[in-house]
Amino acid sequence: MNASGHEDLRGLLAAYALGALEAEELELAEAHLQGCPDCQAELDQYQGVAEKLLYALPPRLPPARLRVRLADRIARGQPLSASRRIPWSRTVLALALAVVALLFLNAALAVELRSLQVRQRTLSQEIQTQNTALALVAYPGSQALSVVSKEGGGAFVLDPDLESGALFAWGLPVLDQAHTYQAWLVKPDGVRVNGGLFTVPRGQTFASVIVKSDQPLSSYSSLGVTVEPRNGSSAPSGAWVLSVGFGS
Amino acid sequence: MPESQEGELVGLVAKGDQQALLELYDRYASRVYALTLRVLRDSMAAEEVTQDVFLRLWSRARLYVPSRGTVSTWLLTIARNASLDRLRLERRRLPASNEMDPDSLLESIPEGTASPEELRWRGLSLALQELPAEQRRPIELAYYQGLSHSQIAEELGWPIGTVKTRLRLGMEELRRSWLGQDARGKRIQEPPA
Repeated sequence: MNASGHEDLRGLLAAYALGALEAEELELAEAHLQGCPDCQAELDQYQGVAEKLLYALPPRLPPARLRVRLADRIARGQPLSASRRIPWSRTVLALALAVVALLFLNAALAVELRSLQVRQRTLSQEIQTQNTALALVAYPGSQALSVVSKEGGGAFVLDPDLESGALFAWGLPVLDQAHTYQAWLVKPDGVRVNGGLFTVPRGQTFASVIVKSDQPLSSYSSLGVTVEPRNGSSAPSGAWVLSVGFGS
Repeated sequence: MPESQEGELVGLVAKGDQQALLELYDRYASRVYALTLRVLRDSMAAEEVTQDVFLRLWSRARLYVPSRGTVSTWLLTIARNASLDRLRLERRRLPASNEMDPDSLLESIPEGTASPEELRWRGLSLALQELPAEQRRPIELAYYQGLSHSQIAEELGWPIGTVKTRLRLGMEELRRSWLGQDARGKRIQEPPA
């Protein structure tokens, strides 16, 4: 890398620490950092500055009722749901929709298996997805989070203690064979981790995928999906087509 | 409270000690609430997210790793991420007129009665407020609103190159002020922990 390119990337480090980089800039910076200890050391300093921004606000006493509610919740041993921006009724709806979609998908797949043996491998994977998702729905600690998407909607079913969750998305356009959808798990520090590739089967407006990680999903703060080349990418190359926050 | 004692409290929380959780709440709720309120600018939403943070501490205390940072940094990082997630999903954009006046907040704490902790945040806040506004605003929009370069440019009506330059200059100044480092990374003095 020439000196000019190095200085350009060095100039991005402060913004990196603040989480202000665009996706393309982030990818370039991360690639550069892997081979530049000087820039990594400088980034560490800027991250130290960013950490101090956590403390640069005057403390504000919350209402007394908040402590009372918290004490009551933990004393009664109520199931802990991430405070949900989603009202309880919407959570039930998301779960019900996920179950209905799974049942519909199950029936459709059963018909296709009998008549289209050439799709057997793909369909087997989809069945595995739905079986895993059904298990997640029934799991005591499971949650269903609404997906935000410009083109449709969906739900992400997970138990934060487990290392996988089931993503259901509808309304996503079918991509050409040169592209695929890729799920990303986002860590609190902004690092994106591959969560798996999936497609929208032709003839369907619905996609499902088991998003897998090598850590409990509680280690992450959100999930997003991008459009990537057919075999996936090492980092997101575009904007989110859908996203879901884990509320933590 | 020494970090070791805070770590012990988190250990007790992991074992289901409700009093330990409330002790940590009493210590850090004002900081967590201040941060969530700063990001969300809505007291009800800030209350919900603040409660979330401590419920998460209650359910995930066993995941705290002392070597990765202090309890307060851990909690505030969770609070910031949770607030930004909620902000993005609700697509809130707050008018400039709603912005809190930082000077009024500083003036509310009399010099003679300020605790060491209050003096600490006051010092940090002053350094941030002493930045020229054109450097402070992009930093605040990036960190407390989760905006990218292009989003900041759109919000402020600046060219994106101007955003990048002013944000970098502001962070360089804060690095000098808070970490005692000059622009070349030479250590001038080690600030107290």
